[in-house]
Amino acid sequence: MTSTFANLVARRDLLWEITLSELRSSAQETRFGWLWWMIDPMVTMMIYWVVVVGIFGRGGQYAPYPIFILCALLSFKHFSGSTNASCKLLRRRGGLIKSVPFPTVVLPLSVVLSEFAFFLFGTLALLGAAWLWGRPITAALTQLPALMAAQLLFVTGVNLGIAAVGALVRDLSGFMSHFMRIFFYMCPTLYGVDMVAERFTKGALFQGSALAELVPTLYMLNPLAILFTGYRDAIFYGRFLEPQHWAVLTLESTAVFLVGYRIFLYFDRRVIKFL
Amino acid sequence: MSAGPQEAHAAAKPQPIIELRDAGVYFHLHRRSKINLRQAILRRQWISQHEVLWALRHVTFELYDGQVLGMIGPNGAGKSTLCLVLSQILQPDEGQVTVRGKVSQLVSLGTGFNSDLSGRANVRLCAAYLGIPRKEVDARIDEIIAFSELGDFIDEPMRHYSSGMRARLGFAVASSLDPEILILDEVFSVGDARFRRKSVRRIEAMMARCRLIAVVSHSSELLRRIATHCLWLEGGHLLRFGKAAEVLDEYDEAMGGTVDPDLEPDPA
Repeated sequence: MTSTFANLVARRDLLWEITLSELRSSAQETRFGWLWWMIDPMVTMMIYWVVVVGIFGRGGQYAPYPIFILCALLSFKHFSGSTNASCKLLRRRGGLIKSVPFPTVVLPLSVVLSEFAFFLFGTLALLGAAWLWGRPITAALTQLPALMAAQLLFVTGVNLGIAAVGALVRDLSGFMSHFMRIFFYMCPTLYGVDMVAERFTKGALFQGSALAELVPTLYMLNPLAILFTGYRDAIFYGRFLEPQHWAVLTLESTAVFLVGYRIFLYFDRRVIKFL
Repeated sequence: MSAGPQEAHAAAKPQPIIELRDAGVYFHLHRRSKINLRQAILRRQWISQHEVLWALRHVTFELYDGQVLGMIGPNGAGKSTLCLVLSQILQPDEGQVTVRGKVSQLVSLGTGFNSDLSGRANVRLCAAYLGIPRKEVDARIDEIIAFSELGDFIDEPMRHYSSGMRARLGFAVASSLDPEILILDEVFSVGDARFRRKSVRRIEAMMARCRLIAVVSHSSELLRRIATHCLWLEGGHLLRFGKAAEVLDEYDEAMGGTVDPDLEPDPA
């Protein structure tokens, strides 16, 4: 059964059941249960808080720093968590794919959706914490659903591509952890995009050259950079993301989704022979 | 592979339920010549050559309503690949396959289970993989659990199950399917002797409801009993296809005897 959209709609029960069972099994048989969904991002946040604020004495312009980085960390975790899982996903499920006909696209989709549930849960906690820390509740929060939709589209696209290629190229999962680490620092998770602009226009790097203007613009082509900025605008600063960023984000996440889905469909029929 | 529009005017002749036209499936072998950097530069041979193995080739046959197909042949003849093609998990690389009706292969669902979850949750999950609608699962779940004879264990996480219990639950779910076309790859029975007899009866009841059955077996005894037609595969090619008795006679002659090694009386 190929992973066409029609087949996916016909088997939406399956997508729901797999996602639900992933969520259930993540909370089953642990002392903290679903609290783990919150503990993970909180511990990560705490580590960076101690290192950046406590030890390096930085991040003063981004106070309260925990809220500032959580706006990006949760989103990044959705991206990295699902992408890491997707690398080996089809190979791990090879036995099932070779014995039962179902649209294999439900496997990466269920990973993205269950990670998204964790993300939603974390975001609720973040909103609570932001309110306690005295961040303003403004109309800017209405941007959240659109940001999440764009994130879902982008992460799904990446995961479909990675899942298909990962089934054929075994080396991919080895590269992935390194790539994720590099990408984490390339994204504005621990710092704001204003710092990138500042470094390039006022700092020593490329001073006065055309590159000084170009690099910050190029930097903002990364959809995650726009997303993180968007979450910060909505939750941390209480302002609206600039329209050109909305345009780029919509365009890019749609394109990534379509390309990822095409890649998955292209390899869909072949993948089974490599499992 | 659903029905095409050209069928309407062919009503006079009965439609074949399964139709294979010159079907072929190949696999890549990963046995390839190692390429080192020097060779790559000198010979400009960057891309290593894959060897291709045709697991099935030029396979053509038709099956009609009410027939039972037996598939025989030595190991590696392509029987399981043919099952994958018939159940539409694998698409042929050449030729055409048309299957008119809902196909299911009776499979062991071991790999589909999530060990952290209870048996009950896994019944739902596996039923969803098999494409049983949720309403039907709700209606049948008690019957499935009763058949598996797991009792109170059904609400325990599956990691506490013995392999026999897993197999029994898997069978109970897989055999609750109601396909029009049933595919059995090797005779399928699980559990202890008593459960085995029970599962054979269940498979027989399932077969009675089907329009068409395809069975893979090494036992020509069994196929003589249940099959109306037989196909003999060897090296991915269709050696013989026809009435079961004729094909099986030839096959037994070639293999040198009709006795099933499992049934052969112990010399001691």
